Amino acid sequence: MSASDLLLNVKNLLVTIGDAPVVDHMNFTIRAGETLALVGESGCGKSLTARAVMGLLPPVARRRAGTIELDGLDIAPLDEAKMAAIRGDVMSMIFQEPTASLNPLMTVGRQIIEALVTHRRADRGSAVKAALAMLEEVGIADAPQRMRQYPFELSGGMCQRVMIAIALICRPRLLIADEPTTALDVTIQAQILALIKRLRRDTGTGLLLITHDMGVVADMADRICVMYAGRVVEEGDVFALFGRQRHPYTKLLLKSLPSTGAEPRGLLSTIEGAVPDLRSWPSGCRFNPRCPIADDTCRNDAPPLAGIADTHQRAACWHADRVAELDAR
Amino acid sequence: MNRNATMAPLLKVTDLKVHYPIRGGVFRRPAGAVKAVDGVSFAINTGETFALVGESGCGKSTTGYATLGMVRPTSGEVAFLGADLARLDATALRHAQRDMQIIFQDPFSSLDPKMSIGDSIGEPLLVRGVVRGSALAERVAELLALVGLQPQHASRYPHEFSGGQRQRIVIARALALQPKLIVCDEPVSALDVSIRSQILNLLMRLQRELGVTYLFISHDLSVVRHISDRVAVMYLGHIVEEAPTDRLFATPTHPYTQALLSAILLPDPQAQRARQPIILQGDLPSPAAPPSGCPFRTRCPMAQDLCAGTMPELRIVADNHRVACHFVA
Repeated sequence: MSASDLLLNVKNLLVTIGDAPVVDHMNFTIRAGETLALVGESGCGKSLTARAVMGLLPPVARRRAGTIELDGLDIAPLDEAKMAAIRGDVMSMIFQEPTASLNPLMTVGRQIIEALVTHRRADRGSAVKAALAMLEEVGIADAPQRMRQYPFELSGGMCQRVMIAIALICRPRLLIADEPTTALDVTIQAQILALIKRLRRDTGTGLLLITHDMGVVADMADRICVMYAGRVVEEGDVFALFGRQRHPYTKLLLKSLPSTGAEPRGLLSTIEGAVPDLRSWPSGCRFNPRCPIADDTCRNDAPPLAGIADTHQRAACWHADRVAELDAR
Repeated sequence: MNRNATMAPLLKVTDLKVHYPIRGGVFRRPAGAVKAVDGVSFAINTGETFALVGESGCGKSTTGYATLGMVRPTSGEVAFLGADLARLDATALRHAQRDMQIIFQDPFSSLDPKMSIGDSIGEPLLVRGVVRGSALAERVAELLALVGLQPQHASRYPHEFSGGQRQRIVIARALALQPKLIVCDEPVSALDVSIRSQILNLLMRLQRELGVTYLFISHDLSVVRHISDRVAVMYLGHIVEEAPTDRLFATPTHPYTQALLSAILLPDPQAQRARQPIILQGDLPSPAAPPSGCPFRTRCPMAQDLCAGTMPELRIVADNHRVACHFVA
């Protein structure tokens, strides 16, 4: 892989809330056209990572270190005006709550056209034409009528299509999708995932997919990056990683899902304890209080994210070679 | 399943309807009705887990609330241990309701933040005059132990607990009066993935130890598949299919059930990408303006003229397997 293939290259990203490192020296890359799933539970830092890339961190959070290279340019130090020029153009984002993320006081049409007028200086006529075509592309019937409607007049699934239309109207190189289907019903989720797959194929957009749902990851991702308590614990090709996990957290998380082969009505495999609070993260490996194979090394020293020999996987575990033992427990 | 088929059911719901009037105009005259539940019948046997599944607005939660008398049915009968709840006098109803409890989705809003958890768990016992004084403290300690918490937790407040622990507290409170039936309304949907299996295991263990019966309301089909004995699939206020769990997942028969099950995402990239989801067109219709005839016909790939004119009856197609579709033999 040459450096020029890299669409997004995040190095050493540190985001803090107060003194707590909520994103603790993250490293990851996305190649053009590739889908990377950032996976983890609430509070693991996955959404803050995405927001740091977009330059949209909430006021309580600060980026303390790290570079964010988009097409070779470090966008981390850019001021708000320069970021505003990039957002919605070269990279854009869709959010979990489609109804809360659209402007309630603006017609759907104006919200789609806005991006084109701002970034492309399109004249109104051609912008309207492009917006209509985009709405049809995301599967909205009666596009001319929908353009004149307000978000409250549309269903959740329809609002999510509109948000996707807004995000993609300028053909971004990178799309960030933060739990894009979590708020939607199952049959609507199927529609939206099929839509994202089709658009991804047609446009070659790189996708950073933030989710807690291993089913969505299995369906969509090329690579997966598992986060726990602010750190990446495991990373790799999606087929390889679902085939064999090298970190106990990933292993136990997949094992605990009801759909992965447990006897019906039988006890499920569990992860003991609770997700730690960011104000009191454990020392050493942050998963050690919940890990069945943790020892003194794990309690004292944080393991580095290290490559596993003969694989394309990396894991941050002192006992990566012993993770398979957890199957026997 | 259907372990107690020879016994009278614990709960029998017959032709239950819950309609909410829509008022319009200056004089707020009834202008129509939202038919949240529109003619639902089912029976639950002692000791089993009966699941109601469906997408938002299908009426599954309203059905659960009407079962407990939390919302007043427009018509129909809810019989608990053979007695129609609507015909009981106040004393008898209060007595019957002791045997029926509910667990809600969000453990953060279902506990009073100003009450210690011991007081919360003990409140139903005090209100019903079951125990007082030191016996009360003992019973609370017993209940805490039953759900995997410590007796000394009784003096703490909800904010000191994680989501999973709070759901344990809510379960302890629901168990205080030793109910026969617990309505579980999306009990794990708000919890982190690594915590869900702990709570599901707890619910299954309590059922085995105490013989409690669950009406399990969920949109998560993998959870339902794991935990329930029988499943009813709801769409726009109607049950469209009902069967023992294994049978429903092996041979889904209603076109809606087929689409719903095909949209489950398997946490296994190989298996998931080999699947062909049935993508339904369009959105869920509003329950205020449901389609004529079969409620599913506007999105059904098999719909014919007949479906618009006539509502299909829920018919028995095999042992304990009922389907409401004109085209099922």
